[in-house]
Amino acid sequence: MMNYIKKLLYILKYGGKKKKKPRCDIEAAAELHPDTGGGKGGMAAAESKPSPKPEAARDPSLSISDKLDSNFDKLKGIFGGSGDVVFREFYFGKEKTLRGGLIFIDGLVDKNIINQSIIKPMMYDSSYLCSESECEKTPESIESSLLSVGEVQRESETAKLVSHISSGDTVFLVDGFDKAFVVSTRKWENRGIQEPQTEIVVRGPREGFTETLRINTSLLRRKIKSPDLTFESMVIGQRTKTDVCIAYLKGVTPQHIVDELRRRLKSIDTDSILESGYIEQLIEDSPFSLFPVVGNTEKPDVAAAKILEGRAAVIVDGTPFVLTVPYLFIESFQTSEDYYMRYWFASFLRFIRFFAFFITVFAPSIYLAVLTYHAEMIPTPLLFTLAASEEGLPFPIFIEMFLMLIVFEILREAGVRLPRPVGQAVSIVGALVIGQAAVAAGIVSDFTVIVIAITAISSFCVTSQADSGALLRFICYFFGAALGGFGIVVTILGILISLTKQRSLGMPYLSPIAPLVTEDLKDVLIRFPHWKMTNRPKSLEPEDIRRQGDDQMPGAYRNEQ
Amino acid sequence: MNNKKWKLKKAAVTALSALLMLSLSGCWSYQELNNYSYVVGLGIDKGSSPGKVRIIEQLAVPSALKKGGGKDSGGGGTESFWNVESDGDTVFATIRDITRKVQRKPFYGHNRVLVFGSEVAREGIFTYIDFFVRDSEPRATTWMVVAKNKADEILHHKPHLEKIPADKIEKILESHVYTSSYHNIQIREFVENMLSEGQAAVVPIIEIYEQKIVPSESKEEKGGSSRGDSEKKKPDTVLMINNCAVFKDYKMVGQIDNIQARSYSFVTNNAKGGIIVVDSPDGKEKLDIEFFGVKSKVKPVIKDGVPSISVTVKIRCGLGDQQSKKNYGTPEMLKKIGEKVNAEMKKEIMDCISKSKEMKADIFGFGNEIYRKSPKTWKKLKSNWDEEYKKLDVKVKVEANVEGTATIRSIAKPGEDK
Amino acid sequence: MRLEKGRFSSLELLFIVAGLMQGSIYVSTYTFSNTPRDEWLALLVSWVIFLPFAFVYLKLSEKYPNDSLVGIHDKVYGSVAGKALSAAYCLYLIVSSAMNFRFPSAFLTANFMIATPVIAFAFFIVALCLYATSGGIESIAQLGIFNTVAVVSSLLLYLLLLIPKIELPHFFPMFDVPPKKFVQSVHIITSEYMGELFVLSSILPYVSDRSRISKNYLGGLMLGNLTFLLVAFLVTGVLGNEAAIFTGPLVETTRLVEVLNINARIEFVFMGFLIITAFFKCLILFYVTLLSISELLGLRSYKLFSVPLGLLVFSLVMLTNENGPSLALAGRNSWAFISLLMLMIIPLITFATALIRGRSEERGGER
Repeated sequence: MMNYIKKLLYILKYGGKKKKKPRCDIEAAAELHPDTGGGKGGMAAAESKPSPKPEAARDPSLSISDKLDSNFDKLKGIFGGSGDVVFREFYFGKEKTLRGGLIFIDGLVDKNIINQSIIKPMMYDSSYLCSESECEKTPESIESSLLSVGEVQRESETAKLVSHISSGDTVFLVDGFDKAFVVSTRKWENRGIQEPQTEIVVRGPREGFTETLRINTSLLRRKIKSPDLTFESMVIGQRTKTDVCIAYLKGVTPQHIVDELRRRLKSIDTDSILESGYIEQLIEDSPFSLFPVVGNTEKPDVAAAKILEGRAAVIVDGTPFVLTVPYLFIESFQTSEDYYMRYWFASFLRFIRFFAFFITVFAPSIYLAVLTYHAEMIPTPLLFTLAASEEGLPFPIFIEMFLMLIVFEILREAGVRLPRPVGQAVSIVGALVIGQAAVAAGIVSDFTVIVIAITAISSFCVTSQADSGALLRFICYFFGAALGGFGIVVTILGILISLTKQRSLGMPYLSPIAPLVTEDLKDVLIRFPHWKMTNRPKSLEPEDIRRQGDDQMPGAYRNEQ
Repeated sequence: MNNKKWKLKKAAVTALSALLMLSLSGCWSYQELNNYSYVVGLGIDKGSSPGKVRIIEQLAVPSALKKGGGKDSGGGGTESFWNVESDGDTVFATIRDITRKVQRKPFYGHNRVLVFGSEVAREGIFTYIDFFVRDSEPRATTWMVVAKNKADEILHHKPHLEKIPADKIEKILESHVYTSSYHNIQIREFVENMLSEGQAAVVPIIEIYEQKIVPSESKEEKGGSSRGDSEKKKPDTVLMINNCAVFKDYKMVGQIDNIQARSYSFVTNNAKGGIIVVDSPDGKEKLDIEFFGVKSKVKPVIKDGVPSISVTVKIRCGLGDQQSKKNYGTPEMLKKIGEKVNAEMKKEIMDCISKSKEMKADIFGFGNEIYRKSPKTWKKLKSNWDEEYKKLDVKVKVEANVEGTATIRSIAKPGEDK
Repeated sequence: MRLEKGRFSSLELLFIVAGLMQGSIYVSTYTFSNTPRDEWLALLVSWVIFLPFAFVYLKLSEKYPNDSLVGIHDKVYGSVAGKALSAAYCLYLIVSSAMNFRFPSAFLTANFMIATPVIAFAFFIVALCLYATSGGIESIAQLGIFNTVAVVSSLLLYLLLLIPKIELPHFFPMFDVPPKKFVQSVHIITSEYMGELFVLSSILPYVSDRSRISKNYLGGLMLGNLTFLLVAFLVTGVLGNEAAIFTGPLVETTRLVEVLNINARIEFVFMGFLIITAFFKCLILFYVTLLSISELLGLRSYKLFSVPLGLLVFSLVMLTNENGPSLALAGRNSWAFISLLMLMIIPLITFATALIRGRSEERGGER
């Protein structure tokens, strides 16, 4: 009893129990971005978590020995008898006294390199090498004169050797040396660079990222040829050991963003990372929110543009989707084509996208609220047609509309999952059966079908918010059905409030609209011409804010003086 | 562990209660479209016994009114409207009582026309008008008309072009821009007039006009066997707006005819188009002058506490029709025509003003203008405004600008048009 | 100062000030019954009268830059009297919140959705307030710009649509209004519409760039006043003398919108925007109440008290003012005097005391 009272007093005095520090310290991150409305105001240094201890590498039992046989046995034991792990022994050196062994995984290696650049020089050109007891320079000469491969490292920790072998490198062990040579021989079948299916453009490059990390980094390098483009690699996932790499532009991307990102990635403690979505959901600022706070893209030009504005990208091996942080709400309405087209039409398309998003979230509930609560808002001839079409229908409008919303979601999901030849049939079936026949059979009214069709089409205008849009649509629908116009207002306010509470890597989600940064409004609702955009977006706090010279407007009079 | 469980429970309870509150406790104002019946016109007549009021409601039948609906449902079979009536003490109670006869709740959000019977108008409509201003459902922009006799025969009359009588009444009211011989007035405007200083209002009168033509075999009566002769030859009737009623203090005190109503529209800046018939300068024929725009200014002039009004009317018009071959297309002739128009209009306006003085109804709002110019003077005149209005000196000046003679000068061979 | 870790910029302060004032547009329903024609004149007069008070508020917060209302009272009046005064303010704020929450709910019930009880609307407004305050001042400040944009754009839209119905003679005769009613209108506008700005002194310590506070504060005041002027112009122009009989003259004007003969009534769209702005005012009042009470009780964080305060305000909304006219009567008569006292006279006294104290301290320090 006394304990309870003490707890109560403690709570009253100190305002709540002490919470455990969360893994992604969002409040600390939020302090990095105070709403100063101008300039970088006092950024509080967030406390850094201690970096994880490197694995006990100093422990000798985790290193390889200098006996080839014991090493082979140890590694054979670790790899557990899989058929595709190849262990190759051979003799080389002066009078074939040195014994060496290769370990690699078939399917992940370029056999050409192994045959031509490791085994052949060892077997044919190494006759001057003496055994270990006689000369100590053998490892250097092996590495510097015989292994005619581009990348060679020396490694002695067993765990690292295992991970190198699993990634496709070849490990070359020599009897008598306690370090192994790790030769980079990675090559496997991949998809090749194709146009991404989810981001189709009319004008612009059609390259897309692939599932191989190295190819993706090469695509980014081809877009940004500056040496400031930095790739920091790390490995996440204890069993999948997925290669992840942070890409950013040194001198443009603010350092605190990169630090925060690195901190969050390093604190991920899971056994599998199969896709960048796993990482996205593990580094989010608000895990319960509906809206995505980490952007993704499949196209290298989009990723390069975002890096050039001051964001950081996360490339994950095994998926073509590259993450970009921080991600603001207005970015869902920007596509790469906006910048390749001329700005008049691009601005018009921006408006269309905002309007489409509004329609897709609010159209069913506005229709329902107006029909059932505010029938005086409909023009009279339309009202009679509506009322006549509702005659004789079994369900109230609320149920009817809800059924159609569910059916639409089913159709959409089916259209994605079905194999391509059958996909056409789905759309025909959807239109004919659900649309026409249901109306004729008297289950739904034709107006409902029209409204749902408009909602459906609009939802594909803004693809990155399609998932949150679908859920918001349902929430709005229920409120609209319960309280009419007031319910819609409540939903709008609720959405606005939840948007203002969101943060993306500490940055307010709705910048530059709220908090208002007037210089950045050049790219929000309308797109200013390229010659007007002299600065990078200030809300991202880049370190180098200018991106082009003044007075870039083209015109014959410019160079007259 | 406890903290987490409690948090989860709290979240679950909140979500559940919110959901329950939304769905189970009912959406209070939720009404399906076909739970309503739509009122498009209302008529108010005297009730069966003194002190009672009789309300006639015109309800629309949506299935006959929807686009393409009338044709589908066996042409002409379904009526697009039906009328319900009810008797009672007060307006709101009677209206609510109608739900005993109509299975769906009447919805007044689309009501467009309010017809008052002539007896009700003469007695005073103040007791009936309160509901329509106070309640939020009926529109503030409902048109008001007074029926010549009773409201129900107006609402029963089936129109030719439109499907609903209320529709037709509304369309006729909107076509006042073509003749300017009446002024359509909304409920809101009427109340505003009554609330302003000493003013009266003008409301159009609608009547059923019997045409002198007898229809031939009606092609619409399909499948109708030939009836007796007495039923075949019924004269054709149309709804027509004729004359205007003058209301003072919510009571109808008199009528003004079409020409006077037109002058009224002129003075109050509501005339948008119409035809004036004047004598030609040489007096031999009549000319039709079509006017397009009228601007009038009413200025009160106060000298030594005695008010007088000066009305200036500017008309923009053109020659529309003549009966001879004379060429009026020269500037002097147009000027002469203009002077004729000035004289004619001045006469009409003075006539209208004297009629209103007779009825002691200040329909033009002169009192309001005096109040706006000098409140002190108005305070002295306010109590006895009826008599003061009779004595009020009104000077009218009309300036007509005849712009042209349309496409031709006159239909005459050269030399004939003198 | 220790209660809220967030900061907001002074540009957002502009929108908060404007939003707070625009949320009080309902005050116009009290004043139109007194001065249907000369509302704009009453507004201009009260503007002039209020300007010195705005300076007093600003100077007070400049003198004590890190203290909110409770802190200022503590420093100026000493700890016992200061706490008593702060308690009185907290009580005033709670009752004011209750009235403000009640008003949009009652209005909606009376005019639009007649069958829905007031409790439903009030419940959702309170729930949204709770949701928003859990995000802190930053979330509230970001909402400010949406609120202002919504209200101003909807008013301009309605102005455009109602231009055919505006009749300039409705404004005449000017200056012909019984003086007692005029003074009452000015009193109501000054104390209830503009005086509410005093509550913002609780959140002024959290502005990040203090150099531009006065500019943006006065800019927000100007914006709010312009909105009200627009409303006054619209209502008088369209309704004229009739404005005196309506319970909600602003909505009545929107009822008269006739767009291209479409025969549709779109007044609820306007009501939607008004609900947003009324909600914003309720939110700010709620937040300020929360901050003041938490500081008074010496709590470390205000989030603990939010749910109890929400319940308290909700129950107060239900218990006080059983019907619309009693709310209007309270707002027009008694509440105007209480607001005058709490929001204008006492800050003046506080400021004077602070000045005197400051001077005596200086003199004491020099010796």
